[in-house]
Parts: sequence; structure tokens; C-alpha cells
Amino acid sequence: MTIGGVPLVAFFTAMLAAGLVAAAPLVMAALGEAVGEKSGLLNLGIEGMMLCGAFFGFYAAYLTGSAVWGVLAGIGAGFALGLLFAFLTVSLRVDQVLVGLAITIFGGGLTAFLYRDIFGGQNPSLSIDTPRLAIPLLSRIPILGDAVFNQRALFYMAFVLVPVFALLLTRTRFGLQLRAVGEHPFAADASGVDVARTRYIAALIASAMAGLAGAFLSVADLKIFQVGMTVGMGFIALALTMVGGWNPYRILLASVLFGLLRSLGNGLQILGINVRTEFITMLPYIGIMVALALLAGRTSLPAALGVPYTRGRR
Amino acid sequence: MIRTGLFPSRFAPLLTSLAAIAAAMILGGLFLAMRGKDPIAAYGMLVSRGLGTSYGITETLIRMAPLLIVSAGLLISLRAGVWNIGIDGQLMVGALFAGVAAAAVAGQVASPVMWMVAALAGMGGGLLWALVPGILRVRWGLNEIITTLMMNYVALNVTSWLVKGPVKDPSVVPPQTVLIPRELRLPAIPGTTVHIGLLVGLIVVVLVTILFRYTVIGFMLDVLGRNRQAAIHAGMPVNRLTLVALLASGALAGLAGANDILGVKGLFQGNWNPGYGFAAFALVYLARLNSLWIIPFAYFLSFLAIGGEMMARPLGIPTYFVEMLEGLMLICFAVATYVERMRLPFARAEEIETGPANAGEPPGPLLGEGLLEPIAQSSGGQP
Amino acid sequence: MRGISKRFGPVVANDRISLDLWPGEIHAVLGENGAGKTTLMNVLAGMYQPDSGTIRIAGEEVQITSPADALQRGIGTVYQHFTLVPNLSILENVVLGEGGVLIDLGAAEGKVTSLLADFGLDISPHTEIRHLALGQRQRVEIIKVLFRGSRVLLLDEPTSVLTPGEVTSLLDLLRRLRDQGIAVVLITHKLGEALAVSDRVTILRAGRNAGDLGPDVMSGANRESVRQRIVEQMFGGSQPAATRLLTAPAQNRVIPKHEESRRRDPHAETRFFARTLNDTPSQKDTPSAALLSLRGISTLGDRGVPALNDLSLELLGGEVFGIAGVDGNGQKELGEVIAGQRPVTSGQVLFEGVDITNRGVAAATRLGIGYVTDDRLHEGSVAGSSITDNVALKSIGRRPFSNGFWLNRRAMEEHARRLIAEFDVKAPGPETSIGMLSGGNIQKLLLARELALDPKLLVCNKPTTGLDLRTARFVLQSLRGQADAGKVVVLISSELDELMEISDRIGVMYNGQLVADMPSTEADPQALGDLMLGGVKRSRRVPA
Repeated sequence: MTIGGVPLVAFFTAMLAAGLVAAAPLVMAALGEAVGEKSGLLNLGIEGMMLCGAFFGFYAAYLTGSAVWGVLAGIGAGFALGLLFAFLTVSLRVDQVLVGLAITIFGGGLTAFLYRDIFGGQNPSLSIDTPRLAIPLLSRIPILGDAVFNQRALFYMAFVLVPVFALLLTRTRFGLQLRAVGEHPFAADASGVDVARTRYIAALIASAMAGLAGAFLSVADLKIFQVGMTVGMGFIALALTMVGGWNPYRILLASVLFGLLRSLGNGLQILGINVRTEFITMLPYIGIMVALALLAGRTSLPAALGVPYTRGRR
Repeated sequence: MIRTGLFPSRFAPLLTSLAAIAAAMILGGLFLAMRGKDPIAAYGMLVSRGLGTSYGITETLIRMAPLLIVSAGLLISLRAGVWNIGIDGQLMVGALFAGVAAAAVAGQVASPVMWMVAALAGMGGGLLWALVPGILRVRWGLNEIITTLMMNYVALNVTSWLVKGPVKDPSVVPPQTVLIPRELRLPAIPGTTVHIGLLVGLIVVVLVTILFRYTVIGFMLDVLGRNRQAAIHAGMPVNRLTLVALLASGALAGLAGANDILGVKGLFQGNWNPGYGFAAFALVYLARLNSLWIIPFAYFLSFLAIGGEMMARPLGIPTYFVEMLEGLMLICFAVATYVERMRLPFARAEEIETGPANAGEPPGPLLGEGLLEPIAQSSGGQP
Repeated sequence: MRGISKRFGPVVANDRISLDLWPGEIHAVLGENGAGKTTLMNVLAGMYQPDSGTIRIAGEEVQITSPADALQRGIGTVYQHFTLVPNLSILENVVLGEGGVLIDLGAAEGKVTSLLADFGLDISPHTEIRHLALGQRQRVEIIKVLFRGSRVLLLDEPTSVLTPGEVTSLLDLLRRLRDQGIAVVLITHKLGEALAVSDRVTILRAGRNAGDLGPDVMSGANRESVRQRIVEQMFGGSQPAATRLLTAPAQNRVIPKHEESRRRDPHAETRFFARTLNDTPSQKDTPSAALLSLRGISTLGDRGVPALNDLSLELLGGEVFGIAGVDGNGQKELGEVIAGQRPVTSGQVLFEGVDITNRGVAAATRLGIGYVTDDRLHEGSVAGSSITDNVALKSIGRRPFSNGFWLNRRAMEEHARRLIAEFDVKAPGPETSIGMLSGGNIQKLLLARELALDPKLLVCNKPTTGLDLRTARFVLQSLRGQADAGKVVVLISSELDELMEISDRIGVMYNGQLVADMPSTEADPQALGDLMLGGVKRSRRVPA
């Protein structure tokens, strides 16, 4: 059975796979951002952190020929920016939106500069091997199996992290303190929680995840780096965090839907269906706004989001 | 008039910005050195090319025009406490509308009329694009940061689609609107090759200055941004004001887009996105949210951008260096505001609300008066 | 605690205060606003560090460095504004702040459940706080503190948000805890409750110790006489000022300059401040027609707690109506309702016979209602703006400040200058940022701003806070002058002296209701104080 000259099964499999791959970095970044926002930090620097993760991950992988080093470098880059962000917003109590934008601008410029400077006009691609990891048995399921369970290793990490984060938020002491700090920092402080330390850790987690997401993009998925390659994915992850109501599972759902909508565009092109690609590309963004509007009354924003905390003042 | 305070104190907030810029340049220079480039030569060439060549100067001035307009718009929004991060999108839509409108009437009416039509179309486009986030904010309380961001990406796609289809110039292959011939575009300022868009930019900045100093609306927007509670307490219509701020900044972003179409490009292309947004942000904060100070800082940032382009090939420094510098400047600026705040008694620092108008706020009041006051000081005053 | 002192900038909150706590006792700390009770408690709770003084626990001197530290030492605090995180469950709130990586809710659950039962709460420990009523939340707060093994329990104004039934339950609970050997410290201004349950009483006044009564006194003596002693220690010795404005002969009164010019040319100010709007032509009524009428007003406070409860009030022209009461009993909300700043959930507000219920600030200002807030920096003014701008805040859309679109900065500046001169504000000039001025001067400006609009009704919330004596007198005299000219002034204050000095009528707010309303000639500090603390309800006198 074919459609537009392409076997139906293969088509759907490819679409699903592409959609999930598109969703993976979003999930990672959004999970991290959720932790950050839960503690009351709005991180607009996520885009810059992702870019840095992408670049430094790419570069490290390029130099060492190892994907692992690449990923670690990406995480490290995000981590470093996260430290800067935390220092400025928690210790110096500077406005978070300003700092976030500054970091994004800086990250963009830095990565673009370094890339052009190091590689000149060339556009090398990574020749490292990131083999597909087929989960036995499960990958035999038609369509679904091949799409979901026959992916690269790093891909699985994104989805494994979902329950990990869920656990972190609900079951650990840190998660509890996190939620308290973002909602009612005075109460947390009065109960003996170290508000500053909690926020620092949250910021570092958020930024490390953003770095990881970027590294995934350049090292595992596309195997190249381009200037500004994240194309707003960081901000989308931010939006997905909100749409998902800071809940890891809902974030996963939102990201997957988003990714699928994205790959739908490509899919339709393959089929030769003449729908304006821009229209399809546009849909996810509009979808986010619609989702936010619908959820407007019902989501409970961490009450202290965006507000620096000083002891003695409620 | 009573002149109070010493000369330095009036300009102290400016010093913070300059200190931030200097720090950023130093850090940038260190970075260049680490990459094996010669920072002194780089900065030297930046200045000599940017200021020393006529090409450099004219290009800077040309580049300044849209930046002035966009920043003026962003200033309105930030001073009112509204984060409009969607300027890039608003600019694109405005530019498209302007390109289409101009093409529609070109040759049929006198040039100045065409320019007016295009300008209005541009402003309308930008305003329209800010309308959705505006309504979402005022009606449903949706934070405008996300919505304006998303609208950027929608704009990219919508304009791309439109320019490939409905408004495409059928006589050429690449997706673009009908070209406005050079003779019909904005003329140059006599004696230079800079088009009058620069003057438009300067006029816009002056108008915005007048808005904030001499009109009721400007006064209310200002209060809204500084202390929302006080604005509510005083009975001001805060929701309407918020919407006005967003729409106004959108309209100006659209106007900037129209400016580029009419003055430089003559048409709207499918993948054109000059990305003035980030530079505008850096600009407005460095200018301490004072509209007149935007002018020198706009010049400075344009000069950096042009100089950066010009020194790229000879020294092997990618043009992205400038973008990096912008980010560094903002980061240094953030630190500098902290230092400023710390030189204040406890009570004052605590009173400052968070929000865009206060993000870069110098702590408290400095005595002095005059047109050149940054937002933290009195917004009134006549010599 | 010995010799504890704490100051915040120029304000001395605690001045060498001493306090002894014994296990198995309920110790009430009584005092008015500003007496320093909350600060003292915060020091003990680790939120603030004292500037001087010592704290000893079981004979050993200690430094309580943070809330976590206090908890570890066995000092548990139940704050007035709850410190429960609304989106977390009871269980989660209770274990917040404890150690360990993975929280073992299981182990804690058992203990919490039994505590809940002990406290008569038949709810699951997994219930989220935001679903609980206030009385329940308070119990959870106490549970939280007991769970950590506190031996000292500090409660700051615990009954301010409780219904009478809940109050009784709480007091029973406190007795039970006391019997278990816990030292309970009850910080309150509600005398009745304190008397009902305490073994020991310490009285604070203006940041210092003002007296204390030990267990012998509390258990032995007659309730009424104990009450008298306490009221006397809290309020006694404050005589009304020698020159009572009400009865002073005219020539002895210092007339503020703006009043003078008004008297010379009563139309001058009207001309200067001519309004473009068509006001409801104020029927210059006979003084006995009610200018303001509140009927059955109920409203919620900032935290969603009912603040006013079916309150009714009538105000006549030409009088100063003083409202006494300890903070938090609804007086601020009452002022806000009158001024249109706060919506009501039920009831009606009538001004000059016109229904203005819930019409908002702009409408109220237009109709001639002025409001001087006590929150001068956050609400009343914009700290970074100039005096000129601040003074024009409320009337920016009207002449002479603007013609609706264009500002008339010269007029604004002139106006500001006038006010600075007439009200004797210490500032270099009208362009000075208002944040630079001292609190007292800011207060004067806010008052000036309202007065300049020539309001028919002026509500002032604690207008003399932070003012030196001379300035305070100035303010009071201005207010008195307004009333003498036929306006209505509502003065909300916690200073009984000033209330008695210039008011024609005095009301007392307690628990969201007006528990008294009497001509000032009948009022005396101790009676008022008693009412403020929840004493016997006198019969309301309705003005003839």
C-alpha cells in the first residue's frame, strides 16, 4: 500500500520517528526549565545555553571523535552559563528577564564567532558513530516499534529523564524544597530551607539540561553545527514548560505533539501534498499560544516566578 | 532654576552604562587575544574604518535609522513595564505591508504620498502583530514574554508564505514583492548618500521624548512602569495603558520595517530578518530608558556593527564578534546595576519593584534636572 | 531574653527588652501596634539578629542565626501570615526543611496522622493546604512546629483570622500543649483571649517593657481588676494634649498658611483648581444631611480573609470622624472602601446620595473623595519620580495640569512649589525625587496633594506616622481646618491622643466591625483602649 508513491508503513514510521527526534531536545530543555521555573527563576537565557551546548558539544566531539565527550562538553557549557545566570539573579538579584536575554545574545554571538573563527568557511560534519540502539522485541512492533525503539542512544535518554525528573520533583527533599521556594519563598525560609542554595541548584539543572539538549542536536542528531541552529527552540521549550504546566509527563506530551506537528510539514512535502509548508510550520507556534490561552485560568504559575527574594521582606 | 548636585551626579547613570561598555570591550579584547588576534589592532581598525572612512560613516548612519525607530518603540513598552520581545516579528510584518502598499500605489501617486501610505501600512502591520499578544495579556493575563516571542516565529512563516504566494512579484523568480525603483524610494539627505530615513528616526525619537515629557498618556505610561500599584491607586486605567504601550511599540517596529523597505531595499524578500531586536534591547537599557540618550547609543551600536563588518576580512575576526560584544555589554550592565544599587541605603533598594522599567533602574534619586535625565530621575524639569 | 535591642534604620523596634519563658506556661505578650512584639518574636525565631542583648536557652547563651537554627533549638514559630506553601500537602509542608535526600513520607505520615487526630482534624495528610480553611491551616502550622519537636511555641496574633468557635478551640489546644510542658508564647493585642488563657503576661509599649504580671497575679486576682491593670499599663499616662483644639479659643490656634489664604479669599483656591468636569452640583445641604453613607458593607482583605463584616456608618459634613483600633481589624479596609480603592462584596456606598459602590478610584476622586494612604512608598507615591510628578498623580487628566492631552508642566511645577511652600516641605525644589525626602515630608506632600483637590470627604490612614511633633500638629490642624470648613474627614489612627484631640466622633474597629461610635467628649483613653482590645460593646450612638 502506498501513498504518493511511498509505502504507507514506511511513511508513518518515518514521520513518527522524525517527530520524536524533534521532540527529544525540547523535552530535555523543557524539563530543566521546569525545574528552574518551579524554583521561581524565569530563564530566558535558555536559547543561548542551548546554542552553547550545541557548539561546544560539536567542537568537543569533533576534536575527540567521541560522542560522549561531546555531550559532556555541551552539558558543561550550559552549566557554566547557568552559574553566571544564578549568580546574577540570585546573589545579585538583578532582573531575570534582562539577564536571560543578555545571556542569549551573548551565547549566540559567542558560538557564531567561535565557529566561524575555528572552522573558517568550512562546514565540517561529525563522522562519529552514534549507532542505533534497537530495543529487542519492542522494536519489532510495526511502525511504532521501529520509530520509537530503534533510535540512537542519546534519544532514549531524553525520555528516560522524564520519570527521573518526575521523581525528583515529587519524591525528593530537594524537589519539595524547590516547589516551596518557587511558590512561597518566605514560608520556605521560615521553615528552614536555604532559598538561595535551592535556586542555584535549580538554575544549574536548568542550564545543564539546556546544554544537553543543544549537544543532542549537534552531536547526535544533525552532526553539524550552524550559526543560530537552535532557531528559537530554547524559547519553544520555555513555552512548552508552561503549556505542560511544569509537569514532566505533560511536558513530554506537549513536546511530542509539537515535534509531530513539525515533522508533519516535512511529511506532507514528501507526499507532494500541496499545502503551504509555512502554514504547517506555523501551526505549532500558534498551537502553543492557543494552549496557553485555554489553560490561562487553570495553570498555577509558581507564585514567586521572576521575583528575587530577600529575607525579611515578604 | 535651582541647579543642584554636581556635574557628575547628573550623569552618574550614564557612567554606569559607559563602565559596562568599557568592561565589555576589555573582556572582548581579552577574548580576542585568547583566540590569537590582536585586540588593539581590532579596536583600532574598528574606529578608523567606522569613523574614518566615508563609507563607514554613511553606512553607520543608514544603519542607525531603523535602530532608532525600533528602539524608540521598545522604549515605550519597557518604560510602561511591558516586555515586548516580538519586535522582530512586528518589524517583518510591517515591512511586508509597507512593501505591498508601496508597490500598489507606486507610480500612480506622487512619491511623498506613496511614502506616507507605505509608512502607515507599515505601522498598521506592526500594530496588528502586537494586537494578539496585547489582547491575550489584557484579557486573559497571559504573560507577554512568551506570546510576543511566539509571534516572532509565526511572523517568519506568515511573511514567508505571503511573499511566496499572494503578494509575490510575478515577474521575477525569487520570492519578493514588487521592486520599487530607486527613483521612487526615499531620497538622500542633500549632500550625503544617507536616505532621509535617518531624519525620520530622529523625529520619532524626539516625538517619543515629547510623549513622555509633555503628554498625559506618556506620564501615565511612565508611572505604570515605575510602580504599578501606585498607578492603580491613583485611578489610572492600567489595562488600557498596557495595551497602548504594546500597540505603540509594535507600530513603531513596523515603521522601522517600512523605513528599510522604502529607503534601502525597495522590496520585501522572503527570508529577510535583520534581527534588530536584540540590539534594540541592549540599546534601550544602556540608554537607561531615556529616549534622547538612545541617539548616541544607537550611533555607537551601529558603528560597532558596521565597523565589525569592515574589519572582518583584514583581521580575520568574524562579524559575530559584535553580537558577542552586545551580549557582554548587557551582562556587564547587569552587574553594574547591582553595584549602583548597593551604594544605596537599605530602604531605597527594597522599594524598587521588579519589571522592565526598573530592571536597569539606578537606585534612587539623583539631584538634577534637564532633558537628559534617565528614567530614574525626574521625568520633568525645565531649565 | 535580656536587653534585646533591634533597630531598622532610624526606627528602634526593640529597646532593651527582656522576656523570660518558663516551660509549661502560656505567656502572653501584649501591646499595641508598634510596640515591638513582632520584632521581638522574629528575633527569637531567627529571622532577625538583635543588635544587642543576649538570649539564653536553659541557662546557656546562644545565637539564633536563622529560622532553621531556631527550629533545631526547639523554637517553633507560627507566623501571623501563614508560612504554609499552598500548593503542597499537609504532609509535605510538615516535612519541609528536614534532612535526607529522599523524603520518606511514609514514616512521617503516621506521626502526622496521629497529630491531626489529636488536633481534631479529620482530614487526610495528603490534602493540599489551599483546600483548607484558615482555622485548619493554623492547626497545621502548629502541627508542623510540634513535629519538629519544638519545646517553645511562638504564636503571632493567632486569632486574627479565626471565627469565635475556632478561637475557643485554639485556646483549648494551647492549654493542652501547656499541660504537656511546652512553653507557649502568645503575642496578641486581644486582651480577652490573653486573660482567658495565660499564666503570665508581659506588656510592651513603644519598644520597651511596660510591665508584667506573673502567675500569682493571673490566677489569683479578680479578672476585672487584672484587666484594668493591663489596660492601664498599655494605655495609661497618655493624656490628651493640653490644648485640645476643639475647645481652644480661636486666637490660640495656629492656622496653616493655606488655610489663611483660603479664609482671605475663599474663591482663590477654587479658581486655581477649577475642574472641567460637571460635578454633581453639591447641594450645599444643611450640615445634618449625611454626606457619606455605608450600608451593610462587607469586603475581603488582601489575603482573601473577610475584613469588614456588615458594617454601616453615616458621616455628616463638617466633622472629623476618628477611627481607633489595632492594625488588622479592618480600619484600613474601611478607609479603602470609602475611597473606592477596594471593592465590596456586599453592601452599598452612597456619597451625597449617589450610589458609588464599586465604581473605582477615578470616579471617587472626581466626585470629591480624597485618600491619604499609609503606604506612602508603595502605593501613595512613585519613589523615583519628582515631587511635581507625584503631586499630580491623581489629577493628571484635569486642568490645570493638562488639557486632557498635553501636560502643562509649568502649572504642575507651580502647583508643586505652592504646596512645598505652604506645607513647609523640606526639599530643594519641586524636581527633587520624592524618594529623597524624609518620611515625614513625603507624608506632608501626600496630604497636600489630596487637600489641593479640595475634596468634600478626606480619608486619612495614619497620616502622622513617622512625623515629628511639629509636623504632626500641622497635619492635625489642617485636618481640623478642613472639617471646620464643612468637609468630612475620616481619620484612621492608632494614636489615641490625636484621635481624641481633633475628632468630633470616635469609632472603634475590632474584628471588622465598628464596635463603638461616640462623640469624642465621651471618650477616654482607657475606655477606648479597652474596646480596641475587644472589650465590652457599648451601645452605638447614632448621630441625631
